[in-house]
Amino acid sequence: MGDTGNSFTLLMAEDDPDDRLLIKEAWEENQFANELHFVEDGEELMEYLQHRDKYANGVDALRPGLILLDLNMPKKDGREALKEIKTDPNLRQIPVVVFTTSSAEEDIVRSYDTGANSYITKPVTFKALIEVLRILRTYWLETVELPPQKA
Amino acid sequence: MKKRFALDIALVLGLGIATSVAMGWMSWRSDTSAVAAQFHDEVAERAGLLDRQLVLDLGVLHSLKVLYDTSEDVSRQDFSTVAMGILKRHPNVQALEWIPKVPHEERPAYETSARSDGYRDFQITQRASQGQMIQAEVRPHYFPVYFVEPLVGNELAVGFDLASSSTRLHALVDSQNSGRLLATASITLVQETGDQKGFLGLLPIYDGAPTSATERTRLLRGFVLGVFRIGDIFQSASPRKLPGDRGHVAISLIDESAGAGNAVLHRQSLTDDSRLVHQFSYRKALKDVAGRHWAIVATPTGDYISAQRSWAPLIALLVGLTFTALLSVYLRLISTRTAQVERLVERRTNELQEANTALEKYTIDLEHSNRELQSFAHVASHDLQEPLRKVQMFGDRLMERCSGELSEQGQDYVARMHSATSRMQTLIDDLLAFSRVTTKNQSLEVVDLARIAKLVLSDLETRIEQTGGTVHVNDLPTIHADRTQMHQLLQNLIGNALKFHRPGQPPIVKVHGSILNGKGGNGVQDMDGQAVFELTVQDNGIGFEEKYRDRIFTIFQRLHGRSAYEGTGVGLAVCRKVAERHGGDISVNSVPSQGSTFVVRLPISHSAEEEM
Repeated sequence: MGDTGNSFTLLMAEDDPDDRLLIKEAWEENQFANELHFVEDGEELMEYLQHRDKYANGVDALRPGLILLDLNMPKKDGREALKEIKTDPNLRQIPVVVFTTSSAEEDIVRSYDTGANSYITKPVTFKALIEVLRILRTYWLETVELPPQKA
Repeated sequence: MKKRFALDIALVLGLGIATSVAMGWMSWRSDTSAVAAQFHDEVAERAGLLDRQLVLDLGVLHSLKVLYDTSEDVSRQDFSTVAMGILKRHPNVQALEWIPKVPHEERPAYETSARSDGYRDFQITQRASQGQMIQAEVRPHYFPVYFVEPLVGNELAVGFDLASSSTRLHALVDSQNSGRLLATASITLVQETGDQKGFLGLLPIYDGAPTSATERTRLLRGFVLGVFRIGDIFQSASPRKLPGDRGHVAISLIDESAGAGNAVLHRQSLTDDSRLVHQFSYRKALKDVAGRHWAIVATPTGDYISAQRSWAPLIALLVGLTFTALLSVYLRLISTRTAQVERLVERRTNELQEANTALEKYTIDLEHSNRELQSFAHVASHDLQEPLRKVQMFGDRLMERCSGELSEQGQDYVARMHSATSRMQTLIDDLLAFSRVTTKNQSLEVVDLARIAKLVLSDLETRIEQTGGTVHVNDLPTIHADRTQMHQLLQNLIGNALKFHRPGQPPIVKVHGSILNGKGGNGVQDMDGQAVFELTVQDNGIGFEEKYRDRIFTIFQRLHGRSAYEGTGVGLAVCRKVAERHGGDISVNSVPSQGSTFVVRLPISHSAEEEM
């Protein structure tokens, strides 16, 4: 059992407002106290992680315990962002779960090759979405041991 | 190309003309020899005839000699009778004479006797330098013309002493000493009025048979003498058929024993000697002519030679030239034809190149369109599914959060909307599967179909249980194929067989594989003689009417309503695509209410055979 408790932040990179709404509702449905933060594309994701631009003060940008990453996004897509995270020595320890509509074999293989920790195809029903989020939280927050968080 | 042919033709033409001319020339030469040989034969024939004529004519002297052999004293009358007879038969003999040897002491007696015979002015004479006859000088012996027949025309000769002429005396002495018939060299006859040459033939008459020259001188009685005109003899020995008569051959009769300047005895010349061809001159010696050597020399004219020549040389030349001309024309035709063929080949090559370019463009277009199709597949998978998923999810949310606020009818609408979206989801999935079969590059590998069938059956487990069906799988081999597509093929065929079962009749599906080793064995047509893998999926389901057998393989074509049998009408279209992508085909036989049998036939590549 991890003791990080409520300090665990879930960071979700998702460009689709509908999906953001559904995920937010599903998260709330689960009554999780942990913070869920959204960024809308790969560019913003990297700004958040590297405390740049609008995240420069660092206060609003807590280091996430888990990143949910959509692959198809504007500006910088999930594939590029994944590559940058996994080649950055400060960031590569953060678990990244690809969360996308694509079930193409090519995307799956490439994601794992680049260092993704899991690959999940977005569920079709809301019920399934709630379930997937629950399992994710349980697994990454309570089941696995993660390296101690850096500052 | 053209230049090369022109050179060839010139070469053939040159060689042909040279050969033709050479052939013509050789033929001309052999023809010339033949003409010369023929001319020689004709001249020899003439010489032979002349020989015979001379023997005949000179022979009369021997006949006359008989008169003196049989009588010691031949009277003028006797001589006349015999001589007249001979002359009648030998028209070439000008005259026959008796020349007695008269010693000077007997001269008066002879002159008297002759006068008494009727020659009133008879005396022994000689020719004076001016040509007139005078009394002969006194000599130990005289050889006067004593008898002469015919007398008419020979009156001048009567009494002429032959010893007074050296030419004649010479012959007389030679004849007397040899005892032989001798001819004189040509002389101008005493009787001659024209320009003919003549000669005398002398045959000595002796008392007894002397054997030596001395005895002959002593016993000599005289000579029988014949006067011959050479021209007449020559004419009578000239056969009509010989060319000399045609005026095309000049002939000379020559006395070669006359010493230097070979006396010409007779000449049959032409009006125009300039036409004579002297290289063809031919000399033919006659046989001994009373101790003299005669020969004839004949020279033909160009006309004579031309007339004798054959057409052979000209024909050889013409045939050669004609052949050369024809060969050249033929070569020219061939070269023209070759040029035409070359032009045709060039045109065809250009056309082929254009076709190739068109084909390349078409291929590029096709690749482009394939890429578009792939991007369509991507759009279908992501961009179309995305909003669909949203509709589903918000439908869920609506039912969950607001169901209390919705009327029963409202709830029904939402349920129908939900059902429609899941159908659309299936449709998109199937369409995607179909488009992937078409666009995705095949990766051929060794595929164990029995294993695939096992996987498929486990996927279909629920349906088998629900329908209470049985699936028998037999003899599925390992082949070279695309694994995913083989999975789709078996999944769709077996899935369909289970799905379309008759109500209340548990489906029995028989899956069977076999390898046909080409050559049309088992009554099944092979594919270009290649070995073929044949997959049969047989069911006992609802079947369908024969007229639908092609339609069912077309995408989105369905024979039943959705409420009866679920599905999108893509499955069999995928099966056909898979078969075609593997170079094979799919066919079906069906009887309504009895069942269907699907047969997929795939050619087996050699590499695949080796692996098995």
